[in-house]
Amino acid sequence: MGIRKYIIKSLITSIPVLIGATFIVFLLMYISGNPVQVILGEFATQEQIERLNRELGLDKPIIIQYFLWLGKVVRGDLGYSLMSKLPVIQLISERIVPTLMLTVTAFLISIILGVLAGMISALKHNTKTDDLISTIVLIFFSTPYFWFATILLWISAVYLKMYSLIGPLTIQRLLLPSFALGLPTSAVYAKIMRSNMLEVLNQDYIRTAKAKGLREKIILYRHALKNSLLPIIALAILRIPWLVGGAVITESVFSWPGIGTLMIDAIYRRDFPVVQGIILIIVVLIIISDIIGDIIISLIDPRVRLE
Amino acid sequence: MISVRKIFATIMRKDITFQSLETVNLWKYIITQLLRNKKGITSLGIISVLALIGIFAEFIAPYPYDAQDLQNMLRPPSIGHIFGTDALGRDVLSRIIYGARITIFIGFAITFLTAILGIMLGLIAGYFGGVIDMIISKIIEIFWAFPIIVIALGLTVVLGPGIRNVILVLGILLWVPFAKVIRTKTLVIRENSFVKYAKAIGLPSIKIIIKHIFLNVVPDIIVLFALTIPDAIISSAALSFLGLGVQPPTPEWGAILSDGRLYLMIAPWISVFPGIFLLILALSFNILGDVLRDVLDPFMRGRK
Repeated sequence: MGIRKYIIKSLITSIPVLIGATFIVFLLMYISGNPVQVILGEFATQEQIERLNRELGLDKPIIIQYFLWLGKVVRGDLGYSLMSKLPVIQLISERIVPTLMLTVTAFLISIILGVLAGMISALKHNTKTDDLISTIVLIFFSTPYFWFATILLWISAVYLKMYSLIGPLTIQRLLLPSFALGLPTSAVYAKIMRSNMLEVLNQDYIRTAKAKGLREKIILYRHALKNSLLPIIALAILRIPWLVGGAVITESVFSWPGIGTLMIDAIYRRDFPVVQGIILIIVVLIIISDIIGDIIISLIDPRVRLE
Repeated sequence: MISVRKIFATIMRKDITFQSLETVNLWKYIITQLLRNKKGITSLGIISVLALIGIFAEFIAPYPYDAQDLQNMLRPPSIGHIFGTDALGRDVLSRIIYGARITIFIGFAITFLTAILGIMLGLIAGYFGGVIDMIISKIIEIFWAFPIIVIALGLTVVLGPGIRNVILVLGILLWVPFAKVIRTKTLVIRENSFVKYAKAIGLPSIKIIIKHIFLNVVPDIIVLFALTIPDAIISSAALSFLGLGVQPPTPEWGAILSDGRLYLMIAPWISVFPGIFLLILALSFNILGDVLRDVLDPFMRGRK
């Protein structure tokens, strides 16, 4: 299959997922209750309620309502905040950049650390170094990330006196939450990297390369690393939803001004349009990154396209 | 467990006589193998101790979980209060001991719910195939794209916080791994001759699914169960950490951790200790799950 055909195919197969996912987000709002009562207040007459219901299309069947809502969403209309009365899309666009910065940095940190730890573990297979790294990885694998973030914040604020929760967004302020999120995540990649690498190192082509007299380093970089890296990238992309969920909580620990803190604030104030808008944006971003990841993998490894 | 025994017999036929394998009992096999394994016995031991602490909290905890002592607020760890006291002068150790009960219960309850949902969907998708499989697979794909904790946050806004809703919300969100694994296994098992014979003699589908397929995925379910519990525990603790799960004054480890957030700089012990317990519990279940996977491996290979 050609690359263009593959891209088109993965775009088409993601349409049902996109529709299903947005429908579930829509359902969230639907079961949260009728907004008319909130808009008009307690003393609205039956007539007023019915009229607004008709104006907002709330008297129509649920499927029609969904498509009406979807039409608005596509045009960038996510409704208005119940608190600040500002458009939800504006609130989100003001806060999305810090969240993307945090998520991307944490993503990179987790992959780099995970790959390094897994690689060292595999190369020093069955030594004390391997045991030590594997134990640390296992512990991080089970660490509650919100607790780890809290502890990191406490240590760096009290003992290192290097972190402040307020002030401009500097690199220094970005690094701590990124590590808090990236380090526990890296454990998953380290685990898989280790077993992949061990498997690859036992493959025939590695032995052939060694027999040919190629230098260890070249074998390592050209063959072993490349072949065990691909599954990690694929896995990391699959784990993006989890990373984003972690980012929401990490943001709230570090008072990082992204959509995570915006969402938590909105939840406390029961500002449902904002909560729903953020969930929608996150889900759509995840599906898009899934498609991009799929395409990147198929570019690196054309075998994927054959499936 | 006849079919499990048969599979074990075909795998091991070379080494052991057929006769002795007819007596293999899955649970007995698991227990003996776990007790022989150093990691297995340690993790099982830690989990049992924590569970017993939770069950007998009334007899173990030095103070009631809600006994306030306003003379002794935010006291650091000492002999009287080994883990210190919180902002209301409550003993953190006692709260953690009572919290073990709720934390472990929630973890099990969520996992139980997800297991039922995931197993049912996986069996149906794998056995019937075709359009049904396609629809269920798409649902699985959609749920894969979801950041579970974010959706759970949204749902708790709708349903309100509290133990029951935390169990419900995470129970209907964490089932995907179960469904995925069971579906794949069912697809393999249904190609076996014993399923084909059962179909040929006209056994109803529900009987075939329960007798011939479900019993053969029991080992997979056990492993998945052990590995889902830490996920469930940490996710529910995360909700409580944000104040949207278990509500005060109920002691749950995530909720205690959350109590300490305001006083993190002056009384870090309130947050540090419940987190350590969460870590130990999750770690033990993860290790147990890994050991179970190794132990049950002969039952879980592709069979055909």
